[in-house]
Amino acid sequence: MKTIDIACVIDDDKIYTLLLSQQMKVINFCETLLTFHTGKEALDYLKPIMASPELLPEVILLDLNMPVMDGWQFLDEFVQTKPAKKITIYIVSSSIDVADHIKAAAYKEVSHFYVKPITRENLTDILEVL
Amino acid sequence: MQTKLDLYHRAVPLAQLGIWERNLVTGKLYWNDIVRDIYEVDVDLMPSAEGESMFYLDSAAVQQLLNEVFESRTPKTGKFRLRATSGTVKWVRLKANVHIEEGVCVALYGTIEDITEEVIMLNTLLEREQRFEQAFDFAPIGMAMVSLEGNWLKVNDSLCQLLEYSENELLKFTFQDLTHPDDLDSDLQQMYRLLAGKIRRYSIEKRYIRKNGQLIWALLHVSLVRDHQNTPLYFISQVKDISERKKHLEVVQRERLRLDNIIRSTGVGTWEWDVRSNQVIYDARSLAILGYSSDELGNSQMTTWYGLIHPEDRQANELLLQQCLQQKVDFYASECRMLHKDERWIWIEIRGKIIEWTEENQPLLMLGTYLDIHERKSLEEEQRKMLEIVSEQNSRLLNFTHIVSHNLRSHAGNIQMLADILTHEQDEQGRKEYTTMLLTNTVNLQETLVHLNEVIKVQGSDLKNKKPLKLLNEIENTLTVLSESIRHAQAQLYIEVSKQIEVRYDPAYLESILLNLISNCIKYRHPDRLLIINITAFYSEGSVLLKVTDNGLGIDLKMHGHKLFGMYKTFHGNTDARGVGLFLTKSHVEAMNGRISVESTVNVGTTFTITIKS
Repeated sequence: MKTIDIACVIDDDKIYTLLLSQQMKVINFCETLLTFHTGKEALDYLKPIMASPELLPEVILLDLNMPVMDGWQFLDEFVQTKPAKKITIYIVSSSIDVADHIKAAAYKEVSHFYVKPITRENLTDILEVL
Repeated sequence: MQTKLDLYHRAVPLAQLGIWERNLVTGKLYWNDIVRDIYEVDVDLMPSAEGESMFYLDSAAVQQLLNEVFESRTPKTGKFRLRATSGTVKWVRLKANVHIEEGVCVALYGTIEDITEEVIMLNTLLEREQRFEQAFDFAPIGMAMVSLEGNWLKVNDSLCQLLEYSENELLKFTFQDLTHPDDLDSDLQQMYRLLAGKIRRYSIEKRYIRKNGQLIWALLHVSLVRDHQNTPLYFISQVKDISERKKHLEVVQRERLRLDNIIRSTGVGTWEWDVRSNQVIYDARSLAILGYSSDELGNSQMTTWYGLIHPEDRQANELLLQQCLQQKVDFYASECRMLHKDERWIWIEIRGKIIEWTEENQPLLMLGTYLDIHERKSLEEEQRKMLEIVSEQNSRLLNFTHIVSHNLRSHAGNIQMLADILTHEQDEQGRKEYTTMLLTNTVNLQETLVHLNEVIKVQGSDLKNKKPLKLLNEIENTLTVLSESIRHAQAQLYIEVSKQIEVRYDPAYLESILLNLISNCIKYRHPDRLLIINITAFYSEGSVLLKVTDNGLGIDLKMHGHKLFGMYKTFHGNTDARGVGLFLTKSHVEAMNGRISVESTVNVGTTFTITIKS
């Protein structure tokens, strides 16, 4: 099974991100993991490197409910950019609100909506699809 | 003898009496001057029997009369027509007798009088009476001569047909017998006045009883005939059948009453507008709807009434009226507020239609109705408000379930993941770390549950805890609670709240609201400048407006405005932001029927405005 070079997690829940990184290590999900706690932090990091494919992540796991800039606002900004590499976005949220799921389906950049907690099997699936 | 003859000669011309004698023995004829006057012949003309018979139009009849006298030897009288010498036709009364001497008729003698005037007068009278009889007998309306006691003296065919009696039957009754008891009095009253000479005639509508007992309505005209000494003789009555008219009238009246009852039962008031004079006539119900009596505004100008329409509704009504007047719409139908006499607005449904136009299509008359729909409207309004509240509660409830689901799920998810890792983790140090994290997570979970509990308390609270509170006191209490933070932030406070302002509020809610807003000012103060907080309160449109303004970080309302008051929404990335404060504040404000709004500019400051219903 292939390993991702760079993966990115955007989530304000620090315990969750820590645990997720542990899980990723176990299944050897990626070489490098970028972790951001708000959409804004992530965007501020990603925007300057859009033209450098070797620095961009292949996968983004995006939470929806975050302070400062939430997942939706991040998405709206992100779709305006032109990354030099194909970036697959997964939403990982606790939301079971149907409205959120319908909204997510409207973004062609979003590949799948995972409801927390994300399991090792989910991570394996992501690897297999890539 | 001499004297008597003399008297005779003087009296005869006075009586205008012609005297004649025919001597049957000598055949000699004598006429006096009056006879000559009647025949219009000269004094010197020698009278002759042949000549005399020439004057009479029917001389044979004269001869016959004379023969009868001669044969019967008794006097006789006859009326004859003659043509005098001038050609004038005259009526004369001729009297004749015989003179007998020793059993033999020796002469015929007699008198002759000009009775032309008398005959003409008699004929005229006769003709007049015949004409009356004709008019009486063949009149299309009932006619009768009635005695002073009320007996029918003479009745015509029409009256017999009207009352369905034969003439003979009718003459046995008095009019009183055939009059409906309820109508008799008024008839008699009038009759007495007529007899007393106070009136010359009278007319009344009364009911007669027919032979079969059926009642008929009639119009009666009565006049009184008096003799030349003014003594009453009899009444002339004319009786006209008006049963049909009465029947129609009754139908119309019944219809009208029925309509009136229907209108009354609907509670509709009516009005009519004479467009050209601008006069409006309202019925009592229309006026009562707006609290007025007929004397106050029964008849007034259209503009007076338009003035009573609520200013916000007036323009729409005027537009509608214009459209009616220009025939763009058929009916006027509008629901609007109007000013009741006791200074309150009530909902009225106005309907109308122009029903008369001039030939040039100019409106003349408009009819319409007023209906009090205040109750219905109030109910609708109440239902609308209820629906609004229920919808809002429903959406809050939905939001709440998502919050519950989301927050519990994230903690549960973490716990699940930690448990999973713990089972796989061999390293003692690692296990310790994860166990600590597990503990932190359960504490967070507990905290979340406490928050949710607080929210449920607000959502489920009733409004019985309202107490009158001095707003300024409450603000000062809150500042005391926060004094340590304020001192630490070196914040400057400006408070413009009158001591007088009092609000009815749940004390715990007001404290929570003030605490949240003021502590938010401190929490989100700008790092580059000293914090200034302005707190003001004033009355506005029956409510108290409380404004809390700071010069802090501000919130990007374009980005976050829609979720500012959402639960667990944080915006500044502060570590102590929990996303509960404003959600709770809004819940508290709305639980007290108030509203909360926000104005903010990033890096300039924020103002929260709270409306408190007083």
